[in-house]
Amino acid sequence: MKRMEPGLLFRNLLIEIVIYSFLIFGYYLLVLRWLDDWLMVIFNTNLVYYAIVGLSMIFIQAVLLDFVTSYLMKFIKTDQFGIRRILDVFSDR
Amino acid sequence: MYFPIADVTVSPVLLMSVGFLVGILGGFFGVGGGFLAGPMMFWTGVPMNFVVGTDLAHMTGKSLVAARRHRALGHVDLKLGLYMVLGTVVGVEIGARIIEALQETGTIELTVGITYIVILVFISGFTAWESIRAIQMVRTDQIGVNEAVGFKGLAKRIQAVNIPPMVSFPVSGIECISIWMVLGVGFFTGLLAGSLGVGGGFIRMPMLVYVLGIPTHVAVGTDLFEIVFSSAYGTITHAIKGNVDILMALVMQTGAAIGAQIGANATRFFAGPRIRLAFSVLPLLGAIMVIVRLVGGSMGH
Repeated sequence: MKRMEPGLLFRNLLIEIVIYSFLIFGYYLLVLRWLDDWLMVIFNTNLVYYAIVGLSMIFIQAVLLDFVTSYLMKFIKTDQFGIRRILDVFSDR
Repeated sequence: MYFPIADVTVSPVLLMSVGFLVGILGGFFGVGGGFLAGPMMFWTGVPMNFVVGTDLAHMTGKSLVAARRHRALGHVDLKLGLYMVLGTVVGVEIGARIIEALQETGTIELTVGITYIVILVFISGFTAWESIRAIQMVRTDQIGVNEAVGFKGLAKRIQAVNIPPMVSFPVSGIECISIWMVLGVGFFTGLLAGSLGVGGGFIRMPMLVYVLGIPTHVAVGTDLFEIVFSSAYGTITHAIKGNVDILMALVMQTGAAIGAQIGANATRFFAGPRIRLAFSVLPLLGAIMVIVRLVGGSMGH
């Protein structure tokens, strides 16, 4: 694989991070910021239920984000630029 | 953003950034990253009683993302991980009870702190020495970079122990090993993690490589697989005590998910000795954190 200039590599990494950031910001606005009241009610009424619901939400979000980030990495073709290229500079393979 | 459960206002961007940074380290080195995330959360203003529990909750999700990525890369030995979980859980429980018993003596904080520092400095020094030796072996002996381990004696002896039942771990390339050795390593790392408070990943990853003879990439992935269980267990126990802000953990996890993907994918481009050499810095950072805590006295268990 042809190696790129470090400046260009970091610029591409920055582009990738910005795309991720926009998506996560949208997710935060649409989902996360509306959960506080609901979670507070559960927290104050039943801590065992809160623990189970909380851990379930962590697992569900982890799986969803894994799908989203995996898809994005393929979609923006990180194998051809950005993170992949930066790793290639430092790689010992 | 105001987090009503922890009763604190913290910038979500800051939390996501902490998650992102810890996610990269966790995905690449197979550690939970509590040694770094904990102090950073405390620094952002999160109350101390919420730091540990919330960090464990975010660690569960981050480790799940990283473990799934490592699994896709063939770096997770599920069978080994499940055996290790059994030993670790027992070790953590006994370690926690030992600490409870020792707390009556009064000097437990200092004793545990100094023990932890000695262990971490030893792991750091040993891993650095071994990985440099392995890199030199690759250069001089013309051996494959992935097979290069500068210290194989202990793993060979452990694998030669013949106490039934014997098991095999094809993913890790181990044809035959006593189940008691695997459970013993899980128990020992759990005992240290349970009694010292944090640092399971710091200790488990090197032990998988040097004691059981697991390839570095598989050790990283399997360690993350185990962290999913141990941190989930910790999340439940802390949440029942009211010490977890799930919303904060979810916000941190959004950054950590991306970081964990990058960290896990990055392991594809580095051979075992390089990963171990870079890893050797982490226990040293952990030791510095403990020294700061002991000197400052502001960040107890």
